[in-house]
Amino acid sequence: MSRPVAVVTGATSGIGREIALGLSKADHHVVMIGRDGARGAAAVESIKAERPGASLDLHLTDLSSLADTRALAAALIEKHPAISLLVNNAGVFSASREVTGEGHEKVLAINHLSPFVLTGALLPALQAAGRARIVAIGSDTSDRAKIDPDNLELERGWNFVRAYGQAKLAQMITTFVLAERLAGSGVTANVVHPGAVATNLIRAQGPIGLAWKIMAPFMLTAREGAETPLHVSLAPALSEATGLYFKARKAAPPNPLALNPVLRRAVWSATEQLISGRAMAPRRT
Amino acid sequence: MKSILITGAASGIGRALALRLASPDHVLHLGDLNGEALRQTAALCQVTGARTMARVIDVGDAQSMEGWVSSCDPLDLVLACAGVQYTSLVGEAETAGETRRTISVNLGGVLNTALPALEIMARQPLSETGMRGQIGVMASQGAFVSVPGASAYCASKAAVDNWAVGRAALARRQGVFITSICPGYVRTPMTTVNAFPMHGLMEPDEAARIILTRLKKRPVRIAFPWRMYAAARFGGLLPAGFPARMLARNYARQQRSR
Repeated sequence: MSRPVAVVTGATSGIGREIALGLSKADHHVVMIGRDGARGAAAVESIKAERPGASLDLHLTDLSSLADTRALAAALIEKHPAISLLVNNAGVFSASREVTGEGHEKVLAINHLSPFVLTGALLPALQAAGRARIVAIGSDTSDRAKIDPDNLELERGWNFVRAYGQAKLAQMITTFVLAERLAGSGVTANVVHPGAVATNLIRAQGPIGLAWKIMAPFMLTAREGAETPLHVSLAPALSEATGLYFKARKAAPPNPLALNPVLRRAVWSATEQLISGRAMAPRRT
Repeated sequence: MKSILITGAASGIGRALALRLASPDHVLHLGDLNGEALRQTAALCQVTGARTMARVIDVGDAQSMEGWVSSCDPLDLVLACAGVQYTSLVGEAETAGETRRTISVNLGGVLNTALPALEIMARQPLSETGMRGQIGVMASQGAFVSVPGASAYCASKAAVDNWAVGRAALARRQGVFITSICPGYVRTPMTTVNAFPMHGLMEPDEAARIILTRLKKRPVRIAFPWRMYAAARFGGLLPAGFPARMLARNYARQQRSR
């Protein structure tokens, strides 16, 4: 029997690498998505060292680009008509507001828009697997975050906490909506908070990076951080669990905003607007 | 088993209608130019048990539309939703290319969908409710006011509404019911170009709910939200060109004050 196929974004370092390793140990064929070739090769090598016979593929893609994300999805579907697991793990944190070549705020593009596009485009392959799981790596910064569907790009009032929290909350909301739409299809969708982990997110320069570095010794290791995501990805007991938010292996109450039906629909359609590739008109308020 | 055809099913109201109509007793023929997003709509519709057939197609292409619509025979319900809008109230007119494309997709696309569908439906047996088939064509509240900067869009929608309202009278004698659908602002990829606060902005799912509820009564026109419809009809009573000039002047003033 062939191995189930798992796709993991941001798999070349940090929690993503540990998730890829854990999935290899669980006999999955793991498609690792990363952006740095050298780091990717090193990750593949280290996983193979720890798990001889691991079946791995490495795809290099810049997930800040929705066009590249679409091209990646098309290539993945071509190669793997059935995908059993998608872990949307790639994430960034930024000290200043940056805009991608496609005009999107970078934190939003990588943490929310790109996974939304990738998940949507892989849906036919996930359904083809019969049973499949979508796991979004969220963050407890979304627990207290606020969200404005008309200002997801934060053209006004950008700050790094707000940008990250709102992007993660948007990702949570669209994951929950998807879970609802996929109910009964065999495809589940959940959000996982991995815990406060010292990963490469702390590559950030300046005071933010310094703060992370000081905190690092008190935080979880990447391996510990991968535990809950792996549990939600693999545990047989969770094969039906969907539309939930997991912390430390247990379902936890999400930000109440993520349960507001009006807001959920607005965030979903605002996201569809943003990924449509149409230039957003500057909004006046 | 009902057979339903929807154009513009990859996004916006077309997708929302498809999702609401997705059930085990429906076969959905879904068409759109955007293949990736269309396959997503189909995948989501399959979850709730619908049989789906997705076709990547340009509604502006009469020949391929004729072929596709004919291949979907029989048809109980057709929803022609595909449409484009290039600019909005920005004090800048649509280019010549945009003007032609807007008319070709919005008006041509509706005719390329509805005309072959009418032929198929006219040959179908009458149902126990006295109907051979039903066709909903997507117009807009823009059909009633010509907005500067989107005049080709408004013209195309006015043409769709006029065609549908007139044609409906003859079609219903054959047992085919045509409805012109005129929504206000809906949060779809199309309205991303609107640079002004959109009054009564609605989610696609809500628009789809209203449309499907009202279609059951086989009306000639469905227009919502009603406040906007009333304002648009009132604007029509004013001297020609007056509302459009007001809008353009208002916009220019806002630009200066920015």
